[in-house]
Amino acid sequence: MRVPALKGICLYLPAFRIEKGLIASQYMQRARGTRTFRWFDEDECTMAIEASMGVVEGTGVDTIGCVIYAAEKGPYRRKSTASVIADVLGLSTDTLTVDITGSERVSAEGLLVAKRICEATGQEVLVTGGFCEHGEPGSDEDIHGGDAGWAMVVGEGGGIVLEEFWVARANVFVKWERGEDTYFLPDGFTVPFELLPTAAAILNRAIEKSGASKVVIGTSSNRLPSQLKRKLGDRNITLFHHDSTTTGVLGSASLPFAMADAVEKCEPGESIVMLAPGDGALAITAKSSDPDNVKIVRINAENPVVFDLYGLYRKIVTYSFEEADTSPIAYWRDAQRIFQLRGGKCGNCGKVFYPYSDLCPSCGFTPVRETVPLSREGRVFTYTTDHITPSPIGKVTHAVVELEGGGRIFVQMTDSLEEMVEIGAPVKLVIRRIHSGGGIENYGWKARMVK
Amino acid sequence: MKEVYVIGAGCTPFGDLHTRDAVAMAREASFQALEDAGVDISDIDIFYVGSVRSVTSGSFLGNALGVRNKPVTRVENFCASGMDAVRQAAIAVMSGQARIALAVGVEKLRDATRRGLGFRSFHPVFVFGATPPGLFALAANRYMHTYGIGRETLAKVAVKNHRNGAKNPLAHFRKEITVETVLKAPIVAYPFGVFDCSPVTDGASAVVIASRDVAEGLGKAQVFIRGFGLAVMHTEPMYDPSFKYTGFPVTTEAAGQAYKMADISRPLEEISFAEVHDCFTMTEILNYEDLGFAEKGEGWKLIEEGVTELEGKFPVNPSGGLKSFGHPIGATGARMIFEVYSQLTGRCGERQVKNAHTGLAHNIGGPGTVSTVMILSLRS
Repeated sequence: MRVPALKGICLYLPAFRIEKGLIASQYMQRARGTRTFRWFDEDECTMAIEASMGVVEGTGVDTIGCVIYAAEKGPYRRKSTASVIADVLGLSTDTLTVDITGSERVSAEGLLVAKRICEATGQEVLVTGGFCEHGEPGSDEDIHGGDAGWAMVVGEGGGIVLEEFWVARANVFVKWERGEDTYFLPDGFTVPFELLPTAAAILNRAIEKSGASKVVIGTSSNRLPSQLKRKLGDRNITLFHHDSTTTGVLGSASLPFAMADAVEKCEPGESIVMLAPGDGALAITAKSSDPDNVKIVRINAENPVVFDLYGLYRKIVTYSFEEADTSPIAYWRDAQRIFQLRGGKCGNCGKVFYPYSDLCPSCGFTPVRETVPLSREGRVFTYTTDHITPSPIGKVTHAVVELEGGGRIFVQMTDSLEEMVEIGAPVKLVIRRIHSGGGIENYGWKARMVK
Repeated sequence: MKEVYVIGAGCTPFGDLHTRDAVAMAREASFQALEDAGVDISDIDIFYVGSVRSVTSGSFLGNALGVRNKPVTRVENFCASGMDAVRQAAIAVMSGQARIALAVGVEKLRDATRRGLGFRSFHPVFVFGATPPGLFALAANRYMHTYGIGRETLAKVAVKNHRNGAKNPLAHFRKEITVETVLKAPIVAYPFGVFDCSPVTDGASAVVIASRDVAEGLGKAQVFIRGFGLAVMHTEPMYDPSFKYTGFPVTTEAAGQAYKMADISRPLEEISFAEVHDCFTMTEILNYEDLGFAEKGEGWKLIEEGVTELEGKFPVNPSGGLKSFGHPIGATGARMIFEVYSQLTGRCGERQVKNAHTGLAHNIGGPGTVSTVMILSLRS
């Protein structure tokens, strides 16, 4: 009997925040706190990748047999986002990739499917997702939404054992008509009438069955937990949810954010109920065996860059460069070379280079057969800040980076409004959207400064 | 090897030539060169047209010059296209295939306004968004870091070339500038500000090359092509983990070929002046070193010490260079040969280099991907 358990959680926030009040004031409204927002080259997929790379860092990907992308939506309608993520992680082409999209409870659904796959195959499963919400200028999404990515690894030997689940379907919830089905629940909205009784009913059953003392609610609403609490009678329960005050509402990403908080406060032997609202509600019970054995990684949780320019914020989150001369065929043909951070190693001069080619760019030797993994960490060898390269901030820094352990890569710098980097500065490689030409999202490597 | 001569050269004014298209510019420069050489279009045995983006094929000269049923080849080699066209013409005459050849370089860039040359992508994501100033700036920042020079030194290259260009009636920018102007200008690609960059320019230039017999027959056996070189490597030096970014090996290689052919071992002493590819201020300093005018890491001293001023010991870019004369990409290399020929024949007026007997012309493109060098001398 296999025992699927949570082994790691990585939470990714973009580096940037903006005061909600600043946005609201443009439309004669008021709001408190800050929201996160993605940089112009980020989307749900790249944020999921940031978190995925964070959760496997140090442990590697050799044991991962399946990637599940679980989010309200992804960058494509007819292409698997999980496949992109598997490619970036360097997983083999027979790795099972699954996309689950839809309601706000999708992260819990992903976790549940991961548990089932692990039970059936014994393989580790990476579950990941991203959430981006901006909407029209002045909309609730603009003011109260947030952007984030997350990833969890489920496998044998983890610290929080996933046990049973309860689901209550209700296919009427928030604004479900047509494509506007965002299940957006900014703070201050009334909780829809179906949720409370449905959620409370399965939550009570889950608590009774598991004896849980902690409940993790997959929401960023500060109102829902207090309303639910009243439905739980006089049980001694600690409720966890994602507080949207500094990040904005994170939709389905709220559950992993809240779960990380709960795991950090969890004692061995304690039980946790995860409750995810959306099309009714889904509850998963989990028993803590060794909570310290759950790796928790937070990226950009501290020291955000706070914007005070609403116009530039809108320009950044709506920017899409589509005039590039590119082709989906050329991109597909080169996908392995683009995503897998592997360099060629010359059989003649021994130099490591990127991107891989069967001809050494240094000595001209061919055929180069050997490829070697490259580090995501490196230092700037030289750079320029180019004001002609298209960008919503009017400039792009390009850098030649020497990677730790060998190899060079030529990349654009990201996550910065700053003019310059310095030669020798440490940087880290990340996957970002290079541009959106040819009708596809052209993802590739960029680098950001290591603070 | 047969000795070949430059017997005539022509050049349009460089600048915003809104009244002329590429065909009209090529025609103007070519007929000027033919007139200068004293030959007719029907005397030309073979034609080369150098252009990066204004010309599609050799048939362009059918339109521009009325060429019918003669060999015409379009030459493209990035910023070295124009000089490569001259080189091809020289080789054609040296081989005996042609008695007289015409090389014309032309570029039309100003019909559509844009910031610089923009960028072109050769791959969906690799090297995406890199621009010419940005690519050369990679070398500038590395050089400045390695040898500890500042933007002020780079600025002096622009000041010198503008000073020379102000004396050149054909130059795009005929205005002297100060170091302060260069440093205060908006940044294009750090460390390059607007005045560190050559302009986006329209123009054409043409050169007529003839065998010794023909040149002597015309009484034009004055300036001969003493040596040339062309070196090309792959398009992305940034992929090469051993690329140092403190110089361009293609230039050293092309110069080596030309020096060997010209039997030159001490370029600074044996050559009177040079027209080098100052697409950006830093490039000119790198060229000094790569062409053997200075040791590695010491090229900047030539500009600091005034050696390469028009009145200095070794004038570089007496024409004003790309910086001030302008840089219509495919025309530039041919324009340099026009300038060297004009200097050697004593036609340069205010910007005349005194006692000039040997001149060197140099292009680099890519950057660091392709380089041409050509050396012209007065017949002794």
